[in-house]
Amino acid sequence: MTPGTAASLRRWTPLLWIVPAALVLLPFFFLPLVLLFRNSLNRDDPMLLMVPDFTAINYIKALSDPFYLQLFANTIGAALFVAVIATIIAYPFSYFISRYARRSIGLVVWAVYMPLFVSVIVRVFGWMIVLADSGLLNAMLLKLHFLQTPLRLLFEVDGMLIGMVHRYLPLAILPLFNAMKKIPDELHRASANLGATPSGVIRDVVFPLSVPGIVISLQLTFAGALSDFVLPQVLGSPRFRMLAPAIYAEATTNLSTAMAATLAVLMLVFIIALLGASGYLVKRLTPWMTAR
Amino acid sequence: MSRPGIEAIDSAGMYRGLLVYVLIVGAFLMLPLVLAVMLAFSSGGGLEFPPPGLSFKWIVKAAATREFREGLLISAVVAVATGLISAIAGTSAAIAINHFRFRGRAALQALLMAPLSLPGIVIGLAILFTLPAFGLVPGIVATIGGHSVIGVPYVAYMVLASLSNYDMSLDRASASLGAGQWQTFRRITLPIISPGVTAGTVCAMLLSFDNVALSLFLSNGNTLPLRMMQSMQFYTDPSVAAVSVLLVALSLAAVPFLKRSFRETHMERA
Amino acid sequence: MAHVLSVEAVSKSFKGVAAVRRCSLELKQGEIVALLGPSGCGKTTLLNMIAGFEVPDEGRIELGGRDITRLPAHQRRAGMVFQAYALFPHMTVRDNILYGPRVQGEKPGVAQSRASEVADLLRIGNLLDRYPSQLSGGQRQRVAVARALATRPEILLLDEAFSALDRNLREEMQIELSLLLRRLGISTILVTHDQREAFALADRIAVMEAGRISQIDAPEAVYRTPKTPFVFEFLGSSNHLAATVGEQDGTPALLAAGGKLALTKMPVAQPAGSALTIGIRAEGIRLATAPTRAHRESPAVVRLVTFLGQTIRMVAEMGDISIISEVAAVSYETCPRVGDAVFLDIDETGVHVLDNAVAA
Repeated sequence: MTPGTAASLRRWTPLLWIVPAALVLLPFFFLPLVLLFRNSLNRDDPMLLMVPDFTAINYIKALSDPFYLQLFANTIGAALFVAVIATIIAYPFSYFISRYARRSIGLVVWAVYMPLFVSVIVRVFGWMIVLADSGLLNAMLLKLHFLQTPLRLLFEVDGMLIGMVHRYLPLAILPLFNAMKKIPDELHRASANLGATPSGVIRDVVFPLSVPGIVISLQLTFAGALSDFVLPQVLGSPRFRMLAPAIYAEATTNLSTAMAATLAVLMLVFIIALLGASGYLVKRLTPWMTAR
Repeated sequence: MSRPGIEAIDSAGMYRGLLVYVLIVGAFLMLPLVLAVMLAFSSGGGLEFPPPGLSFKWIVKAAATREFREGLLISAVVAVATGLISAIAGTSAAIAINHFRFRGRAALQALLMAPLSLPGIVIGLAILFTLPAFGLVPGIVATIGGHSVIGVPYVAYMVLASLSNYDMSLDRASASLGAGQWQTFRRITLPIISPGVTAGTVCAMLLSFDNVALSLFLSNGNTLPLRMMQSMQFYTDPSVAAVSVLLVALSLAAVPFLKRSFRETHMERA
Repeated sequence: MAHVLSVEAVSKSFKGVAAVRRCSLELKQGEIVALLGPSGCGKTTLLNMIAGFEVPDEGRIELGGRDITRLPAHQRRAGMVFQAYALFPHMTVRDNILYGPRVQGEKPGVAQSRASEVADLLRIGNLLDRYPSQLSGGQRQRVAVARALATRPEILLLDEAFSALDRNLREEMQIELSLLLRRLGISTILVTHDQREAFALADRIAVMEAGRISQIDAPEAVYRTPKTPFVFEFLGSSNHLAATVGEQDGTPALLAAGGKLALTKMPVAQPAGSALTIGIRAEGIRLATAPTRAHRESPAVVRLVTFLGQTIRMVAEMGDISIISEVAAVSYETCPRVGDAVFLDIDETGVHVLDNAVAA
């Protein structure tokens, strides 16, 4: 073999290694995304199901019809609430485990990972036990005479939000933990050495250096809650409609395939925009990382 | 001397306050899992808590429920197939990205990881539209294909993490000793990154086993999580809890495979 | 004169392992003391206790007349320069320097004037708007020193502060900092494992071994009159020889290399026949091609001659032992060559008995 062919062979080897992944992702990911977008431009017909077309009618409807607008408002509001609350809860938690449990992977760290590995169905079921009319929370509150009649939490927005905060809390903790563990102990000591009190160290060193973690936590939890299907479907209220169950309903019971595709594309656009925004925000908030 | 003087810098009050807080949040995280497992052994008939007594009747009932048994089998088949496909495709993609420098490498990595940041419900619906083009209908094959879309980038991600410590001069050393590229991969690279491959594969299988959003569109509503969801929506009895015990046990069984890799990628590098 | 810092019988152990054992140390105003020792000798732990990053198990530390043994680190006024500098990556050089005065509650005007003062001293006025990631190693060190000085500390603590620099830059910075600290009269403790660094900067050197201060003295004193075998061995390169107490021509002598080497001017306290180990510095041995005095020893043979720049190192074999000799490089043209037979010319005032407990 001449050196020339050997070199050109080497140029193509990365392609060989990528073939198996391409065989999965091209037919089952990239092509479907294209078709999804194409279908969103079709027309739903009550008689003929989906009719091929090239129209923006579904987008106009989705962005003007009060029914869909309420759907977006509900979803974005719930996702925002979950993202903010989960990130706030996660912050001190992550600080503690990044600073004190770095080496000894304690029970606490497994409390973070464990729910990630266990089916969301199990977690939802656990919350049903807590939130049910005769469940743990009501039983406790009634016994302590805080309540006369049970609180109705299950199949209400409140219960859904609690379940969502629980589901996405680990996703809020991990980026914060990763950002904080990168802060060398020497910086804490340097800050104290120069005269900063313990809370001053957190304010001046830990907080600014964990800003990328905060943004990523917010983004991950927001995206998760925004597209969640199981929690609204099982714990939520039929009077408070959320986007993911709505997409499923349009595609199945309503037989409005093109509308389902449109809502899915809108969800996708929203999440990609969010990704871009958080990337931009991280860059803006951490000028020292890109300074040359 | 690992971490000198934390206790000398931080205030003791802050430490204790945080410790209590962390324990409370930890309990919040574990609460639903623990309750679901406990209810499986209840002698009561509904979701009441605390359970009136101890019994195995719900375990027995769950084991006798045809939907659960069938769901378990289907989910297991799908998970194993997804794990295999993801292990091969994910590992080789990680090698392509880590070992070679070529134009569009960053873009390729972004495309490879894209399924992880997009919602399952969207991917599921999109694949559903594509099935007729391959002559498929919702079923086991479609579900495996869909789950692999998540599994492949997941394995690639975990393998890339374990490759980040990989010394590329090992490849050159191996080549200088006369090994070809494939031999080098099989005898040098693969043994070193095997914790990452194992952890990634186990994760891909767990994700597949627990998946709802994709299976919703791609299966016939008969995977185990879907069966559980259906039963929770229509008649809530503790037999779902009994199945939950199985799922929690399965996740616990996966922990040893994940532990080493998690330590490598998440904990040790300070 | 009052001491700026006094450390009294301080001890610290980690999980039952003693890191520092009853160390005492006093620092006069403007004095620079080096804590010198191998890694794990406890020098960093001692420094951390002075800085307030560790609390001593026992003992007492006073700084500027205050008992600071248990004072939180942020109230100590002990400015530290960290090994990797620990510059705040999210702050510009200016903000790094201003940080100390700010958190200590200085007025903005005062803080600003301090910052420009230390920036002038360290000659980093042109770097103030940069982030640490945009600085070279030497620049980072200057910023770290400036940041520590901006708080007007009672004492400056340098923790292996030069180890991250290349050799040439390191020596340059050592000279510059040595001049600066003396000009400002700042009391300083520096921790190092590099004896050249200790000699380059310190007024006094405390050699540490296994948690204890073995000797604290002026640099030439620790080098020339080491009080323990460890101090002798840690400083400079040396020969270790097995010897016995015997006699030569009626005078008591230390005999080494099977009697081929006899040292007669040593005061010998041990009884005749005792076995011991002696140490001779490499520069305490000259290799002469002809016997200078009444040399009676059998000649050695030169096996290796190495030119090291400032010195020449020669290795000679005498029977089954090797002798290392190091002499100034100016004698390179006249020094012995490989294969030459040579006589050992030993400066016996530099010979130390290292170990007299060797069993026969």
